[in-house]
Amino acid sequence: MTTIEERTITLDSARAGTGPATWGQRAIWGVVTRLGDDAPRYNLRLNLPVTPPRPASRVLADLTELLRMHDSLHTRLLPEGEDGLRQVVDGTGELPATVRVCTPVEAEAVGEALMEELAGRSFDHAREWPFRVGLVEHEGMVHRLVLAASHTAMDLWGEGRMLRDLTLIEAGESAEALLRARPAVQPLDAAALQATPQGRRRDEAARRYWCERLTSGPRRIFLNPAAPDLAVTHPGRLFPNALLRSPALAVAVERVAARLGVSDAAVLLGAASHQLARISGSSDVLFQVVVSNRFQPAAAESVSTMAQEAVFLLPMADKDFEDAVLRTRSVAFGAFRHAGYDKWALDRQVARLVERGEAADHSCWWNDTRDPGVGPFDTVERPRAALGELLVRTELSWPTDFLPRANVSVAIDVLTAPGALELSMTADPALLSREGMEQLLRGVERLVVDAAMAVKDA
Amino acid sequence: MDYNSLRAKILELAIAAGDGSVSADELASVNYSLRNVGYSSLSYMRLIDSIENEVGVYLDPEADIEHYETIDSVTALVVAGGAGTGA
Repeated sequence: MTTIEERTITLDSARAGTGPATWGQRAIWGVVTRLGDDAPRYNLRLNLPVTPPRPASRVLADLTELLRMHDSLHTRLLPEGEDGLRQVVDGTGELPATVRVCTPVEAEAVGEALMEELAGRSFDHAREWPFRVGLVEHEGMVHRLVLAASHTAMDLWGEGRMLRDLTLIEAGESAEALLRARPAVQPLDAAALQATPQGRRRDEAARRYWCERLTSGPRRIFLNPAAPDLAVTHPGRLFPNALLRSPALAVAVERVAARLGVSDAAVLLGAASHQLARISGSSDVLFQVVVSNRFQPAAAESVSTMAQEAVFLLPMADKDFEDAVLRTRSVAFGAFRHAGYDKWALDRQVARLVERGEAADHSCWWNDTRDPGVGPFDTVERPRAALGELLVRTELSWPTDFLPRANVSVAIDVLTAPGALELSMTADPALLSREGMEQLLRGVERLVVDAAMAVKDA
Repeated sequence: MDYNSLRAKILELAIAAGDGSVSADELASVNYSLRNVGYSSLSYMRLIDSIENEVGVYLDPEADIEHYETIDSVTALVVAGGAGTGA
């Protein structure tokens, strides 16, 4: 049987202040505000085991320390006029922690339900902090810690840093000591930097770069859509999601990267560009690439939302795989360098280009979500089998279907799994059939594996 | 800043951008070739960032790859004011 209680986290004398919102905060706030009732699907969800179980008072103290460490967890966002958004970092306040009491056996399931309850509601960013806490307890000991956060507080890279910092705090570290050892950019500081002449120059250069690529990129990528009638007859059509899980790709990508002197991320993006060009019929391809914007060490440590989209335009991507990969390296450098900007201002510029029919198709998305510190063979043994044999271990599944999303024709995520790399792909069935999706994913794998086998043979 | 001071500054920034993965001795042993010490994409991004912040020169990240191969070629790119695409 589950009972319900509530506890409170009290924040006192934490850093406080107010200033303009960062580019990242503005970008995500704009998205979730437009989504309205659908906004909770952007919320971050965590249902964490607490092993061994800890007294509730200790867990609340740990979380208080975490809040003291990262301003974004106690920040509100207030619209200001037509084009403004202010961040208000509260130095004091209270955060309720919802408690569920149950047996240890029930804890995981109760935690799951609590997570959906906490993350399933929209955040009122003007009035509440973007962070919710739930505790699943048995006899005063916490067995599961449930956290829900608005994307305005952190992106996925920030979530990883938050979890690491929480673990360190649980081990006895203080917020002050952790920040001294590894300074982390706080959103108020980031916004102040973005408001300097140098920050404004960067914003303008990034938006100029975006618009130049959009005006020179292909107007349509899918020249031979699979089922164009669907777009008219089934406006609410579901987008299939395919998941390719490949041990061979995990091994092969490292070899190809080493031989070509590029990162494995460039190999994968180059392969996807080459394969998309071959399948779509458009020699030039354009991806919106999600960029962490965490190149400097203090940015890498930040629990905040810094990720934004870069525009990646690769002309003549269909010609040759290796050439595509090598050019991906330099084009990605340029694109990544121009991934920090005021999204609202860019959206207005892009809307004008679209209106005039001058914008390239920018509905293909690429998100390499991998953490550089986490590899596929960290926890499992590297396979000894030859690449050709590993290929038979590839699995392709169709986990789900998604509702259509605005300006998305194809979205590919790269994920690290134990012993494998995963490519998760969602596509508009009006443009690409399931067979086409499979052809694209298996084609990426085959390109990289063949190139790796050639390395060994050479 | 004269050429030698600028080169020394670029070397210092390159080591810092390597985030512990490269030392001055290692670079000296390979004729200051960033490529030969396995300088990562992330390090290059940091270096380009640092040069803009601390030297005030914006480098074109899409400049031909040979401009980023060694400390000397990066220094030459900075002296040229950051131009270099297709040069």
